Amino acid sequence: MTQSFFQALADGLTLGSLYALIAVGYTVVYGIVQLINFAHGEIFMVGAFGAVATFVVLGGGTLAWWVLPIMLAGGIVAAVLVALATERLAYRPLRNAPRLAPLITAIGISVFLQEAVRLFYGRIPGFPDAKSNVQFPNIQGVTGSPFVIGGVTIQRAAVFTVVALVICTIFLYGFVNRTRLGRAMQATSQDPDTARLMGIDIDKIIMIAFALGAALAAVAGMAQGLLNHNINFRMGFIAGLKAFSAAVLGGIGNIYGAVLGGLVLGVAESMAVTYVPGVFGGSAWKDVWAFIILILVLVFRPQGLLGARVVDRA
Amino acid sequence: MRIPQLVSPEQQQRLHPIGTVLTVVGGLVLLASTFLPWAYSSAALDDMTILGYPSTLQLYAAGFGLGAAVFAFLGRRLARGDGRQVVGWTRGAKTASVAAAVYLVVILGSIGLELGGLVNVVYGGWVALVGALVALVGSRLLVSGRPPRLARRVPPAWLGILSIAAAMAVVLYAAYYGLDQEDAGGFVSFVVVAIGAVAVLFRLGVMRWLSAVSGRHRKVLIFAAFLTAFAFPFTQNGSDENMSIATQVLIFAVTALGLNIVVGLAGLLDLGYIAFLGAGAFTAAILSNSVFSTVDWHPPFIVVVLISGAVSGTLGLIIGTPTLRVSGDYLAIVTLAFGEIFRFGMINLDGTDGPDLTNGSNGIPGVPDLNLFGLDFKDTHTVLGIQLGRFANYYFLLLVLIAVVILIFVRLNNSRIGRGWVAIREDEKAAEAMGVNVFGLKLFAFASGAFLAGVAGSIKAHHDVSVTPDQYIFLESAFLLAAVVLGGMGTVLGVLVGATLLKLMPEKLRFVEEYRLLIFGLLLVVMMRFRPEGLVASKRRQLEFHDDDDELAEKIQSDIDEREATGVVPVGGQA
Amino acid sequence: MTAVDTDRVAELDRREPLLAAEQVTMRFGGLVAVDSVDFRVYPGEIMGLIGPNGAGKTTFFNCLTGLYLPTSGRVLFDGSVLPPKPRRVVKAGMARTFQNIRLFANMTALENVMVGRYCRTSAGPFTSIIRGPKFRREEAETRARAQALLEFVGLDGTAESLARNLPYGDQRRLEIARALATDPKLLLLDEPTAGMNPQETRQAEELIFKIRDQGLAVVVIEHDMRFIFNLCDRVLCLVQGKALIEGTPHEVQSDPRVIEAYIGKGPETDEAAQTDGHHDEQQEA
Repeated sequence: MTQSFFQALADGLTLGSLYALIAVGYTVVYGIVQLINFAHGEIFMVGAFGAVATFVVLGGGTLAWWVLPIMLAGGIVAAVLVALATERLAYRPLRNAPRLAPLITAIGISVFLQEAVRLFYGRIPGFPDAKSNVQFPNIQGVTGSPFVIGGVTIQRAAVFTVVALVICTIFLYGFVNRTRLGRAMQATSQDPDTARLMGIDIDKIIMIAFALGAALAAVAGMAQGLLNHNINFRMGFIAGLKAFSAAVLGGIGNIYGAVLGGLVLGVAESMAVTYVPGVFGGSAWKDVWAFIILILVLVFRPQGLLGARVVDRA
Repeated sequence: MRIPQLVSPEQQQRLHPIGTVLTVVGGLVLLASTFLPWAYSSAALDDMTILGYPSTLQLYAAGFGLGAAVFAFLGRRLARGDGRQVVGWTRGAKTASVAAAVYLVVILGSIGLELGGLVNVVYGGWVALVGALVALVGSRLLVSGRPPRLARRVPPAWLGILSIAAAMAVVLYAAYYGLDQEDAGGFVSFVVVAIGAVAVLFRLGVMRWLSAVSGRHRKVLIFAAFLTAFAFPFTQNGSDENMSIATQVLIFAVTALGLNIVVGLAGLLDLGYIAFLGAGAFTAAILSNSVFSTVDWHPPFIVVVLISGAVSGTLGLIIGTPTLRVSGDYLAIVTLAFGEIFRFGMINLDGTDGPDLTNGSNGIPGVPDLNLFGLDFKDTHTVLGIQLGRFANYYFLLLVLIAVVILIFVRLNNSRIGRGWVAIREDEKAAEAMGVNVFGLKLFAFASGAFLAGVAGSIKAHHDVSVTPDQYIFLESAFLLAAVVLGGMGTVLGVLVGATLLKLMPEKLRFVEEYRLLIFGLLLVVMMRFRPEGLVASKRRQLEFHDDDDELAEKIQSDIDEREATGVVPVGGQA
Repeated sequence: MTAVDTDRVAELDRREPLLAAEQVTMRFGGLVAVDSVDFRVYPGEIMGLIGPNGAGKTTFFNCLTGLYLPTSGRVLFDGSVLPPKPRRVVKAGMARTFQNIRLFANMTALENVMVGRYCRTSAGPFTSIIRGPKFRREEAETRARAQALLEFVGLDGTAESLARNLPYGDQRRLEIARALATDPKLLLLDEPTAGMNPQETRQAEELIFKIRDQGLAVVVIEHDMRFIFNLCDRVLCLVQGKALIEGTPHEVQSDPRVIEAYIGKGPETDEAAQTDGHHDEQQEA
């Protein structure tokens, strides 16, 4: 009984860390421009594919541990570039448009990115075909035989994921509170007009928000690849949805809320699979539970767990 | 979209005569070139190898050339005087020249593609291209002048009605001809011609005249439109292929119209709309006489339709009630999530992961054809010596449904409820403060959209024969949304155009099949960037999306005034 | 119309108030924005609400319109507590305009006013779709009523103009017409002359008298003191959340505390007080 509880907890925290890393991207962008960037899930996917691309181009076929940071850097670069491009080309021109316009654009970008990866990734010489699952390299150290502690099995990649979240959160905390840019970002999210009057370059802040979210999503993409051993062009869709739910759960606009929301959602999902009795408890329904949590949050606590921002926009 | 001018307006005033000469000459050269051979082999498009008379596709080029020449000639005096004419001759000439150039690029490109290289284009083709380019350059030097006044001319009733009838006949012929194009090159050429011709008519002022006439004879227009749609199966002479496409277009259009109530009228972004269609389809399939049905109750179809609608509508209420209170953004994401839940649910309700209702991912095959009022839909009937097959039967049923949905759409839009929706889109807080029941109206739009999708789904189940979860995935929702956005949010005609284009293109352009989703993802982005109001824009939507464009507001105001002056119906509303 | 005879006010006092705020207090955390304010409005009178920046006017206004539920005390409209929903408040008979105009910009003037009729009409989806007799009757009534209201506020020629294309002063009038379309017993005007030139202000004044003469009660929040003293039967001056003084314009005008509250120090001419207050508010808006 306790063993299965801790197993579920460990699995939940791993999953939750993944959600949290992606959720930050939704939340920082929303906090500043009140835009739900649906395409963020695809940025996560691009990060994972970018990591594989880096592995193919620079890795030289080795699976040694030192490839890991290189892949990570490659994934981050790819994700950040794509995110900045979408911001510059698609979202920025729509900043004063009715709210429907950027939402529809986001859907378009999301579909476009999925298809672009599916169709063109494999055409680059040496790259694996992306129309079905793509094998993710089993980097030494973060894959291989799992740790077993008191009967609870913990994948090495899970450790990587959780540690990545911890490091990223510390980094985020430092960035937001200790740097000029971070403080400017906070100021902008609280009152864009005043921030502009104080000489803050809003365009730059928005780009940083997109880049920051993309970088964390790329880390998540890497983690996902290590956990599942393969990636595919559709992986961003459900993960993005769940991460968005996590962001709402934590209180959209609040960075720490996103982290907390991700963890809570991951654990709740994992617990539901373990403890909901009968046929609905099976893993077939796990995604459904996550979405039901989203809906329940909206009904009972629309401002989220840490609810910094009152959701009151038409 | 604007094509950049080559020279400043002042220079245009001066260069107008030269532009006229160039355009006329270019147009006539193009006209003449169609009597020359264009292609080396007759295998490309239609036979363009003949010296002496033009082929059908060449004839279209001739039409654009002649149009450019004649319109430019008729508009030769525009640079003098007040710059206002009854018919927008030079505007027409400009557009005809652009259309001619685009058309030639497409034609020569297709010849090159189909025969393997541009060497297969013969001298006549190059002459034609030169003619078109000369006309294009010349037309760029022309003065546009102020908008034509044609729309203010009120023709006698018989002429108006005759014009409507003629326009409908052209539409019917175009539908017949377009669907008849087997190869992609021919179809693309046809689409370019059709768009070009419509654009030229717009610029001449003929379209506005026609729309003013239609406004005056609204009933005639509606009757004529349905008569035309009704006549379509009779042009197919029993061919199932095109009728199958036509029924698919209709199902798609009905669903998109329902979505347009939600998105276009109430301004709510519903990304899980396909799930409501799916819920209706599954309900109908489960209640049908299929041997794979999982329940024992099989009521008549009339009852099934209502149950399907009710099931979807109830789902809409369940989803809408919690989310519509919060904010529009959340609705989008919750509906997206709902779409996924629906798919998981349908896959999981297979007897192992949950109660057996849908047979899991196999779905429910073998849904029998409908049998309404003694008419068995699987039978082929012969009317006036023309065979009407299974698809034609569904076509007629869907036509009735689409008529009902259009009626609901238009009448709700032009009512107290429609005004409430507009007010909510404009300023939700102010609407609430003026006593508009914001939540109620949103929920109504959302649930009634869901209801209509459920009804459409019940027919789709029988039409498709089998209902499976993978027919109702997110991409289909996005596809529907693309139809609404492309066509025009909040308009009926726009959605019909959007749905037709989006459904027809992949059918006719097999070679883009692979790139279908890529293209329409891009389409959504590009439309939102450059023409968010869609191809057929609702005036109000246009204003909403271009909030800082005061020029546009003035223009639309003058339209309203003009309509008032000529005694044509309503105001600001449906465009 | 400057002086209002005290007899009339006394007579009003004996009647049932249409709107009564009783000891309304509103706290936000530690901040007391409104402190035990009493306020009565009688049918057929124009009541002014003035006060310097940050005096709690807007908060009090929101308590009156039911947007905020007071921390203590209560607001009675027509003898009962208002429901905390703007829509129900309108239905109960209280309509408002906005400080920064919030028209439906892309609707015509007539349509804007027709939206105001929404809460007094009831044609549902069914009759709207079949265009039943009820729908047609109601639609015709709505249209006629809206047209009449446009004429009433002096916008007869502009029915088909898009709201966004109207001149500023006309937009203010249109907002009033839209509010009147809800058949209110009480009309709340939030700075109706903000940004208007003297001529437009005068026209607004006439319009408000005309509305009062229809038997409606009007509450006006304003900073233009001359305007408010000309217009109102009684004036309440809020300072730092408290009711400083309530009385006829004459009484309020001559109260040294009001002048002090506005300009902060010893007595100066009222002209100065007026321009000063006005200037501040312009910045705030």
